[in-house]
Amino acid sequence: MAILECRQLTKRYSSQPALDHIDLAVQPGGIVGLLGPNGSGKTTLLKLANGLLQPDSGEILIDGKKPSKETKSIVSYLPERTYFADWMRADQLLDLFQDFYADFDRQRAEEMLQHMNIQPKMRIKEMSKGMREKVQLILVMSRRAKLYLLDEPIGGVDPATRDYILHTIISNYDPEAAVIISTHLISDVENVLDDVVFLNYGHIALHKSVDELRAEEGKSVDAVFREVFRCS
Amino acid sequence: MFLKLMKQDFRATARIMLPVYAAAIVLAVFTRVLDLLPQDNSFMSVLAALVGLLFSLAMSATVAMSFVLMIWRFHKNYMTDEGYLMFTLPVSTAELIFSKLLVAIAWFACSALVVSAATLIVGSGGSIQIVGFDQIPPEQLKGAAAAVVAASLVAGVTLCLMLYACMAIGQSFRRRKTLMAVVFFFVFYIVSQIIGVSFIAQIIQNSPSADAILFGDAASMGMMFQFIIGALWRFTGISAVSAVVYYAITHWMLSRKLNLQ
Repeated sequence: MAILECRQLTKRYSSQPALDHIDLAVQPGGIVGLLGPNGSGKTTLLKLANGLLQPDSGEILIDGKKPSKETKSIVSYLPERTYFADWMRADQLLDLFQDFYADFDRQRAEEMLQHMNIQPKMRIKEMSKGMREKVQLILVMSRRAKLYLLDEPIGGVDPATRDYILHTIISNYDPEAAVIISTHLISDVENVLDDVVFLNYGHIALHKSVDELRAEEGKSVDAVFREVFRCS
Repeated sequence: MFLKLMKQDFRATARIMLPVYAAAIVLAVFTRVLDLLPQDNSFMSVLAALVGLLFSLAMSATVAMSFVLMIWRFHKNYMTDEGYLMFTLPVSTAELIFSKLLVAIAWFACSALVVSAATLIVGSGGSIQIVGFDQIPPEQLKGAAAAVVAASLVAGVTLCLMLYACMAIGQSFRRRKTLMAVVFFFVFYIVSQIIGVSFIAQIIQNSPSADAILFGDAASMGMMFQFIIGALWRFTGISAVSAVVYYAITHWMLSRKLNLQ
């Protein structure tokens, strides 16, 4: 069974469709790149999967169920912004995740914090933007979730941090789980992707495995993306 | 999960409320101590006046802070970036609303206790006698106390839920979210005032004892008490119905019309 499935999923903002009758099925056990230019509907799709938005028509299913309290316990979501209260310390955030998520691996999170030289007693307001993003990623990737939804995990960080983030993702996710990475920085992520979904103005322009795409087109995913989304 | 939500909220609010309470009690003790000392020079008089002023400010802050914190926590935790965490926790919308509500009510109650304790400290040694209380039977006094507690509790819950409903509606707009929350506050306030005034008018019209009290020929304090207790229970009933409506609005807006930016 697909871990994430969209059936004729539609979401409009005012009269403008952000997602227009899309059908999509993501199977467990792989990393999927949700690729598209700004405003193509990537964030909307991830918000719908998390129940942060409601579809106008069609449906989105996580492990066969509509987004609910139950599906939230198996989805690990990294939004495009940091969501911490700035008075909290790193160890208090670990307490919070441990309280609410049965699949949270505290030991793994503590090891990653130590590896990043982040003191557990350090407050969020004392951290730089990059450090906050790393702490958030550590928390999200320290869960043994069935589905990871990562919205622009490498947007706005330096190349060294990008490498760290991608390494953290591929070395921490459960092989039985699915990871969906939304980004427009294709060249940085294409080596870790198993499948790609191109989103364009709320429509799926392409959904293929990376190997198949490279074999058929004889080009990198980045080169195909530039062709598909070329500005006229 | 509900208790864990409350634990998180107490953790976030206690760091603000506990120092305010400590300041109120310490200032009450200082005020009382200075009151007992002889005010035989200008320094002592100025000091007593200054501490008295600080005590009054601490009392106001104790009441105001629990109210401001109730609004601020709901807004910050659910309507800003923090909402991305809170609304993706494996908890229901009802749990999110009730955890905030119960914590706010708990702080309201604690603030009332602290203000009462501080007032008792400052006023210890004095005595207040309310004329006519001895005419009221003890059962009626107990009934009045129960009506006041129930009315205060339900009014507190209704106020919180009304403000939550305003913020929940305000966030659903694409722009000027805070302004729209304020607009809806005035809409709800005016509607509740109209209902309240109609309710009072109806009580006065239908109650013979109200006539007697209003025209100054009430037979006794007991009769007035009975009238007030009856009115308070009816007020509590109407307030509870409004609370249910505000809760339904908040729940619907947060589960169906959430619009985090």
